[in-house]
Amino acid sequence: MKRIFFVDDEQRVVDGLRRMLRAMRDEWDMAFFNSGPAALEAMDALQPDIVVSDMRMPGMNGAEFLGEVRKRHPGTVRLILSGQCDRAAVLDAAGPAHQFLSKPCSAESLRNTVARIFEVQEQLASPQIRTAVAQLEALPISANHMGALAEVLAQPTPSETDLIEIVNQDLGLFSKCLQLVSSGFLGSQQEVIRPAEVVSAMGADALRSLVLEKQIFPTLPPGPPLEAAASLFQKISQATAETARRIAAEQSSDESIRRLAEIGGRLARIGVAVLAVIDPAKYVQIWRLGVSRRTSKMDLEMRFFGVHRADVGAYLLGLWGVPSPLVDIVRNSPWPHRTKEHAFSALTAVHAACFFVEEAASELLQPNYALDLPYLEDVGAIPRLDRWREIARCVVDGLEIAPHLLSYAGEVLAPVSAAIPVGGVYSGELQS
Amino acid sequence: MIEKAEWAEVLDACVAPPEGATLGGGPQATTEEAGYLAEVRVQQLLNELVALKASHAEAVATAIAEREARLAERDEHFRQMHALLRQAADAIVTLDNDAVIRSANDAAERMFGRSEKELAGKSLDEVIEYEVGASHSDILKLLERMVSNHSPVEVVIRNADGRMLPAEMAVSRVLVDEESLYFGSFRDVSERKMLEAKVRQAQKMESIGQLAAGIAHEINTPVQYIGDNTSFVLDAVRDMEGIVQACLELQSAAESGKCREDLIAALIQRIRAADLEYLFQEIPKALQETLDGVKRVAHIVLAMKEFAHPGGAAKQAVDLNRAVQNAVTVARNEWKYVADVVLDLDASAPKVTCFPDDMNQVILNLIVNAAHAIAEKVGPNSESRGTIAISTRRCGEWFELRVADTGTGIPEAIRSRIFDPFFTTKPVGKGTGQGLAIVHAVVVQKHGGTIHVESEVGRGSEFIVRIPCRDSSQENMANAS
Repeated sequence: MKRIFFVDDEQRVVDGLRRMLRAMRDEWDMAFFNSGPAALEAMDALQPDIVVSDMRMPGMNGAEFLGEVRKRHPGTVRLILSGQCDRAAVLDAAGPAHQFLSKPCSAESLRNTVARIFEVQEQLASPQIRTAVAQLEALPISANHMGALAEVLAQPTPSETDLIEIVNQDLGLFSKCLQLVSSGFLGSQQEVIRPAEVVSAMGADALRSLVLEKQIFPTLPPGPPLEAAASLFQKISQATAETARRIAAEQSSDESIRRLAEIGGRLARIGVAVLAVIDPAKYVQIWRLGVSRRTSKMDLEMRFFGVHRADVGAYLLGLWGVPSPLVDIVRNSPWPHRTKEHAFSALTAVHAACFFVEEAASELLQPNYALDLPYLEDVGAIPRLDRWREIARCVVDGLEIAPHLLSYAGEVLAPVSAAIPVGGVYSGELQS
Repeated sequence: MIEKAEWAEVLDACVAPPEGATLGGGPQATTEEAGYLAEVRVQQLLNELVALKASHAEAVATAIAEREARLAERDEHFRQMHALLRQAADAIVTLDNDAVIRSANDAAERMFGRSEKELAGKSLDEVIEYEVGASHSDILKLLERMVSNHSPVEVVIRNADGRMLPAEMAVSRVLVDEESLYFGSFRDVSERKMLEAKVRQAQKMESIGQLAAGIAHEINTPVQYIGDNTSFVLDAVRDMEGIVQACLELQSAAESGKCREDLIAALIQRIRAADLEYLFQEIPKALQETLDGVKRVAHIVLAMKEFAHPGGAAKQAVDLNRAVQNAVTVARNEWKYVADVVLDLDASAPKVTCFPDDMNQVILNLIVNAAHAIAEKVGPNSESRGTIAISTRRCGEWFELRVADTGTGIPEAIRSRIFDPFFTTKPVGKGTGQGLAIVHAVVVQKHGGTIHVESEVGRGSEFIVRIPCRDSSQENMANAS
């Protein structure tokens, strides 16, 4: 049975939760605590799958408690359930907490959130990778973007245009902001949002606090192969977002489909970043083999990690409370026929965009999957494929990806530099 | 003029022939020669004298011209000084020893809305207001006091068109034509007053914003358990509905004379699944806690309502004990994690005539300050807590409010500055440094009260506010009518 711990210093809230969740007693094993330390002590004996904690408590507050849980039981999913409205205090939890539920939170919404987390956990086969992903507070911001960002944020009134430009280029920054905005850290939950909306929803102060003060973004080990790969990766993600957006715009007048296509395209490869952070040395091997043997990197991921980018990316986004339609697009983008609905959708656009961008980028980049032709035929997209290929080529040329690609290929084929650690940041957990 | 000593020199020169003036050159010159030489010499001297006189006259003329130029310059200076005084930005009046206006400059004419002629002869207390009900002799005392201590006071100028202008008055003594006069200058401070009001408003908005976040948190918590308990009761009612349904089926079967085992088994199954014992035990508790939660929310909302909209802009009789209770409730989120609040309110204390809005602000600022002082001492997320003791007492004609905390205390060195506007020990971005300045302004200036602080570093501070129970300005007005 799945185990959940609830922590709140107010006894009445604890009693209310216990009664309200009684209906779930056959599915969930629940325990309730009045303080973080009491829950931590119980955790040593019985490790929960999820902890749900209040934010403001005397002694150890919710952010500190979840930070401690992250250290001791990295695989446990960490949620805040708080009536706290003070933004500065809420941001303290932005690192350790996966999601932020605001009090008052309806029984239905709490049950759905927990059920959704169990659902995404089932969908990622490897417990080790699940643990490593749950431990991530954020994905890295590319070194050059970090420099530019620090410079803009150092201004007394940072330029919004500059910030949007950086969020638009950096998947690490965008994905963290998407998590905070869509899972209720910043008050009202918002649906699928674009980089420009991220900046206005977050505000420069919150960005400054996250990036410069709390420093929750991890840094990749410095060195040419990772930096070159990261910079190519950012460009390819940006190109996929743009291509998917244009394909959707040509096929559909529905604004929500265009939006989903753009953000889905941006997030489609997020699993690559996750795996590269979990074990950079291993992933450099994948890059190298991908270039030298023209092998699909998704196949290599399966060989090296036992999982692939689509499932890993979907798991991270699911933990982070990113809206389900986006999570489903990321999970299904390589094989859209697995979904029930066979009509043009954002998924169609993302599936095609990933393939055509990789194809257009260079012969050096072997597309990671083949086009799902039976699906595309069902959707009636076969006659559109040449047009979509042209869109991708146009976007790739416009973003000047070629030089990034060359330096990437050169660097990953070069002999291993001493700067790359053997085994990664989380390799300890992976091997154990 | 040639001085005596110089004449002697001239005469000596006449007797002694000048060098090189000898004809034959020998000392034995003839008397004739000597007479001629003397004549030449005298002529020479006379010529020199004439030249000397001419140059002297020139010097005198120059001296006279210089003196005239200096006088003209001084005249110009006087004119300039006069123009300066006339057109100075500050209003300036001279007053005789009985505070009657002698002269006034342009700014004074504008500020008072009267010409110099109209002003001249009026007593100062006809055109300014110092304190409500101040008499003529009070004004005279004030002028004398101000001459000696040089510090300006705030007065209100009664403009001829009926407007009241806040102004700062400075007084000194000047000697004019052997007569000692008061020299009074007035500076319009309405803009500064407006700015002060704005800063106060900003502080109020800041504290309201902070309060709003705290109150939202205070309300969200009971709303959470109200919702949870209600949803539990709803689930329980559905379970019991199933049981009742099974009972009814069994009943109708029994009425038709059949005793169906399957229906009995179904009923037993439902009863077991529902865990009736638990439900009967928990439902009353759930409902009771829901009611408590509703009461709690209602209490907070009422306190907020009374705190935010205490009445009109005028002074009114206020139950300050209730104001204290409301402020403690709305600020609960500020103190509850760091301190316990102990109230000792004098139920027999009378209502106090005051501006309710301002007094609420005073009480709130003192409570929030106390909470911050304790938070700073116990540190973030500490298990230990402090105490905020709030008491009210009637002390004769005064109402006394004490707010004591067990916080950091205020170092001696800064104790005298804590009421200064913009003085703050908090880091930049935390607090405008207006809290205690506003407390001071409201208590002392707006209500004629007193405030002082007793503090010991490391032990805590106690703020003692006293305000008159009855409003002296209203009494004066009542006496006057």
